[in-house]
Amino acid sequence: MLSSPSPNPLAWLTVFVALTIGATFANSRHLLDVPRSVAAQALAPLQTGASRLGHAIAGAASGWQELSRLRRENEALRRTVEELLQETVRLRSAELENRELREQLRYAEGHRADAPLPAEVIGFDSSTLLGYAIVNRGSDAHLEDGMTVLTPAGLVGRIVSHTPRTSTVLLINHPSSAVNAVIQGSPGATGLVVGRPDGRLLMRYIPQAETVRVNDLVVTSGLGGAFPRSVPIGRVVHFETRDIDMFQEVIVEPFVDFRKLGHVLVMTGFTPTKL
Amino acid sequence: MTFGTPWWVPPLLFFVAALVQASFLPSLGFVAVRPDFVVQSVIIWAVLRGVREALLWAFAGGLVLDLFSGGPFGTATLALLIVAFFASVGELRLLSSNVILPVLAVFWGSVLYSAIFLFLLATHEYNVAWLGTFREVVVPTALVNTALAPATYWLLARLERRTRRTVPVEW
Repeated sequence: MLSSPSPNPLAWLTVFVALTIGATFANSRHLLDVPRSVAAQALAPLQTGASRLGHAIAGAASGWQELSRLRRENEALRRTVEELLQETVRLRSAELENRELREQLRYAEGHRADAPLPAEVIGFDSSTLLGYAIVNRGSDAHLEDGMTVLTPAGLVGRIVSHTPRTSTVLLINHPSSAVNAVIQGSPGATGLVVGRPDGRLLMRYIPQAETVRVNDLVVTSGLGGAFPRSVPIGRVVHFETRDIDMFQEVIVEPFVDFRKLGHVLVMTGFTPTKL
Repeated sequence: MTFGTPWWVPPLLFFVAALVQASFLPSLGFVAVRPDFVVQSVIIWAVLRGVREALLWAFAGGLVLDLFSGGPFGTATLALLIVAFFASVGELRLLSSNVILPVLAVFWGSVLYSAIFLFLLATHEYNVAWLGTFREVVVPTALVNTALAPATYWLLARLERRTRRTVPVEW
């Protein structure tokens, strides 16, 4: 086999880079909105199918895993009945925690009156470097950019772009996301929750004077008007206070398991403020 | 000139790869680190077929990735073009029958792709946590891509042989 000699590789690279820059420019001028929208609509059923297939496989796999886990757990529990007395202490604190969570959920229930719209997550960003999820509802369902997306467990993110049948949601666990938040029960302990590459959240700019404890609940503060007030975000798992710093930083474990995001609610009744 | 496999099979594979990595794998839930099938396919194809086809498929594959992405349009395409260029100009083709070299190219190509991607995100005023992203996402993804590269290489090498254009030698 003989292959014909290739032209100058740099010339080819230049041609394709020029094409890409042209496409980027056209996209920034909204010249590609229509073809992208058409493509997104055409892809949505494929994404839905692939996503549902994945969920089905994951369901079957987790069912088997769950069965094995329950067997092991049952065995372990039989051997550790004596330890249950000690567990009672922990259960009491869990009960208190549960009560707090119920209050949060009641708040979320209250927002259901604001026409929360269920949507299915049909895909995630093709790049692992970006934190976007794609849901199967768009402007046809009256979704708009900026709308808050959550699950009963807590805040998921907000819509950053949409087509008639799909919306792109920026997840709060991505470094590009920023949410004004407050430690529940400490009105002065406000800060900014940003995503971390490891999937946890970082709450920054908490005033030094505020006392923060592990297991404190972090909720949205409503400041800035981008998100509604008091939506649960996560729980403090680590905090760092140094006298030389002006602010405290805490690591927050989100309530939402972003790897198992299947169904979400879009708060169509909340209108974000556009500053 | 003979073609064992229709011309549309490679682009279809890239499309399916993008669909799998964007919709199927995330929905499984237990996949902590997602492999980047399009990136590894383009790199391996670059090693197998050289710069011209590599750039063509990088362009097509990048557009598909951008279509599935919520990020700035063109970011994946530009990053993939540069990676494909470097993967194909190093005369790796001469050693393309050896699986080790394409596998190594996949690792470094994946790292380079992510670095360029993050740089382009930063130029779009995205908040990029360089160190954390490299530690938590870039290197694990590159390792997963590398681990899967022999299988991808086996598949693409078969496809490459079946779509190879042969020109009779004239005396």
